Amino acid sequence: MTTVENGAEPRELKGKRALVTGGSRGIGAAVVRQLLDAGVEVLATARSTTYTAPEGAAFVTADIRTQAGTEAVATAVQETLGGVDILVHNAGGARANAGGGAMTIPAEDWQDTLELNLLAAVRLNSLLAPGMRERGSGAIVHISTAALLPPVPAFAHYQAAKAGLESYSRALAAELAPFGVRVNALGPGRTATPGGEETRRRWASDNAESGATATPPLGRDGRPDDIANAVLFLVSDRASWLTGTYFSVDGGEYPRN
Amino acid sequence: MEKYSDKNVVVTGGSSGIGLAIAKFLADGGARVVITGRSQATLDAAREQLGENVVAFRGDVSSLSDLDALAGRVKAELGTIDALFVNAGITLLTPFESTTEEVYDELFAINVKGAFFTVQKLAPLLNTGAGVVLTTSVAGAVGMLDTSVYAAGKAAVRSLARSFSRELLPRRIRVNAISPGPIDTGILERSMTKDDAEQFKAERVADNPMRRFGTLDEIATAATFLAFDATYTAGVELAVDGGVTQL
Repeated sequence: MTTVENGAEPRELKGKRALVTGGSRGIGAAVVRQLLDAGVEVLATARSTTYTAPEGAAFVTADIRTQAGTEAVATAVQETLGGVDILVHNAGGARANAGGGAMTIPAEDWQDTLELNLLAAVRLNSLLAPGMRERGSGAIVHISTAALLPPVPAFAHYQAAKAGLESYSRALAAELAPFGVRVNALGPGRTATPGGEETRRRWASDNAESGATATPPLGRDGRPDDIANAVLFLVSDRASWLTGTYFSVDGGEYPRN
Repeated sequence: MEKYSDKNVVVTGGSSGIGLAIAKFLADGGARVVITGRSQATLDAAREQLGENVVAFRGDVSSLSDLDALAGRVKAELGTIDALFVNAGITLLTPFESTTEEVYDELFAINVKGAFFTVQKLAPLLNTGAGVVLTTSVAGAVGMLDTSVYAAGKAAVRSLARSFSRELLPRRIRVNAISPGPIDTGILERSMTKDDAEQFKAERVADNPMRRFGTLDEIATAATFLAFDATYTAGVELAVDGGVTQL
């Protein structure tokens, strides 16, 4: 292998403070580990109490689908970190409307999916980004999905929420750019994570011709560290001239502009 | 051990501007670098600045015999390549009504044909898992007066990043593009009056979401990320422009 496994320069982010949502497993856990390796002070949050964050990070259990949950996370940020320089909105996901299409997705699934994939980030940014603006620096990364453009009716709620997240990400980028706060979105493709594998298996069993089990052009599935490499770049000064971008980490599978 | 100390790198157009910044960033990180350029004097100055780990090759990327010679030199100096930066290019204004066939052909010969054959000739030397980064431009993404031919060429190069990915991904070689936004290189002061340059620069800053120019280092760090650290990304164009084409 000629690739560098961990994108972080040694200590390039030393002393920064980060919040990672969905930070207990999969992509979020890899992001937390790479941030820790780079010398960042990390608070991870996740819904479940049965998972813990990678060793070395502070952890708070919270359901960020609710206003109360996001406020609890913001309070934990103030208490454990005193503020954040890096915000990684990684929590996300949705249940496919198995056997059905866009029209029969239950109303509560729509609401739940919009809360988790879009509104949680909106609320947390509203609570935490003003501090970044005041300090004149900061980096926010919204984890979206590479699989946004090919329509998948059973995931209409998920695709709509992520499209909303990317649109919101650009609006926030425009608002905060003059203050030196950068906002970017990142789209993972198929990634070998517990959540991703489960969704794909279910999806493939319902849709034999979906291509959900085919191999991406790069010849392998993504690894959580592939995504974390890109997150570490986007939050570091190596990306200090990037804002408002969307970046695919999908092995070349889903073309975008 | 420095981060790039076992890496072999080629940067076309590496004797000045963005290419020189990429070469310097990687040479400082320990990489062995071959740079190309058309002017021996500029190459000599770059070589002087970059140090022992850098080999300068004089050649024109629009000449296939020069590219054959480059491939031979790279094979002799480096053996194989871990990162290829297809960066050589020229900028010429092309007012719509007065642009000549000669100017059109020169822009496409260097910026498009040069990019295609640089990759074709050097591909056999690329290692499994190598990264290729093509330099495009914000001009390819927006419509601007007097730049139609340059912009069309850069849009063609952006397209090459997608097709080359398909060609080379079976060897796990990732091809991506970097689209630099406004950089204050001092060239404006040499090509227009001081007042005009100041006004032009003030407008660029006012237009840019981050309200400033980018630096060559900021392009170099992003290009290097694509080449080495974007381990699961292929066929994309990364806008490194303060958000000006994104927002």
